[in-house]
Amino acid sequence: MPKGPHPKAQTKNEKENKRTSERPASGDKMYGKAANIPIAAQNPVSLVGKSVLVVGGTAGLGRAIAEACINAG
Amino acid sequence: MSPPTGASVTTVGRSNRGGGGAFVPCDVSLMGNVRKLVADLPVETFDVLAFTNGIIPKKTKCVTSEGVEEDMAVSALSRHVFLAAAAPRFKAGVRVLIWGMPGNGMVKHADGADLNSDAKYGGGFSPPTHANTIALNEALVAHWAAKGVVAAGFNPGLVRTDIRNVLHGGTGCMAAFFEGCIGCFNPTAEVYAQAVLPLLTAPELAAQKGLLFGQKGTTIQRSPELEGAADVQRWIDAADALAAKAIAASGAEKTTLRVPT
Repeated sequence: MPKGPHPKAQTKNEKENKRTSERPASGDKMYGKAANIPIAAQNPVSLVGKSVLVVGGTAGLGRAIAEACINAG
Repeated sequence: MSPPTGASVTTVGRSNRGGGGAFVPCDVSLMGNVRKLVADLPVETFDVLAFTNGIIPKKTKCVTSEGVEEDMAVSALSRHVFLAAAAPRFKAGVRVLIWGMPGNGMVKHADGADLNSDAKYGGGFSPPTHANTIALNEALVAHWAAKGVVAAGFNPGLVRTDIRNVLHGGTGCMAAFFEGCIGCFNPTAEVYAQAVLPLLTAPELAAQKGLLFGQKGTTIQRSPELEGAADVQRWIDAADALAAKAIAASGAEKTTLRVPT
């Protein structure tokens, strides 16, 4: 019998999607309904060599994203 | 800020508040400015275009000198104008990442026939004004994804920033209290940024264009009102028309905004 992942094994992303889909309707309004599409890349990444433009990147969320990109080495 | 170790970042905004990276000043509430910005930027060098610019409508309607409702101008139409003008110079594989509030249920309150809130205005989150920007941003993601661009939309949910100050009369005690409460139960902007950072290079975005992501970087569903290509096109057509009026009012050269298909 071929070995593979345990049928009950869930990735971190699958678990998060499941939790999100189980939120009450009020939560859905703010965060959107889960689409359950797994995204594997959940590890720290390197953006060395990448060129990023952040429009609105001088304050708030944009600034945080710009700084995260700058420091993603 | 620590010494840069990662990406080469260019930020665009009205004023430089001391963040890292190169800074390009631009008031993107004016479409004429946005067109000039695109002409001046080395668009073909960018691997990622992240649109985080946005405001919330004030209690009473404000329009720009080009006649565009302020929230629509800053939070959505500027992005449409930027992308339409920049697309011919896109680097292969460029990622277009659009922050808004996709999939949050407000699109059903939007009115694509009144993109500029001329017939009805709603301050704060009252429909249809901010809902119009949410719908146009979600439509932009779907529109550019359909054209083969690696586009994705992001709904950060509640994150502690100063974007909601307009709802509490500026930066007073009420705003500080409200944002403090938000900060107790939601991530800071920095924590949120770290959560979505891997998505900037995730291969899934290229394999499945037009994905939308929620606060924790997990995928969320598209608004049912924007599932059809015709639904999306209606919003793009409306944005084309409003942008053309704005650019005509700005005195900028009149050219078509639509990217040839």
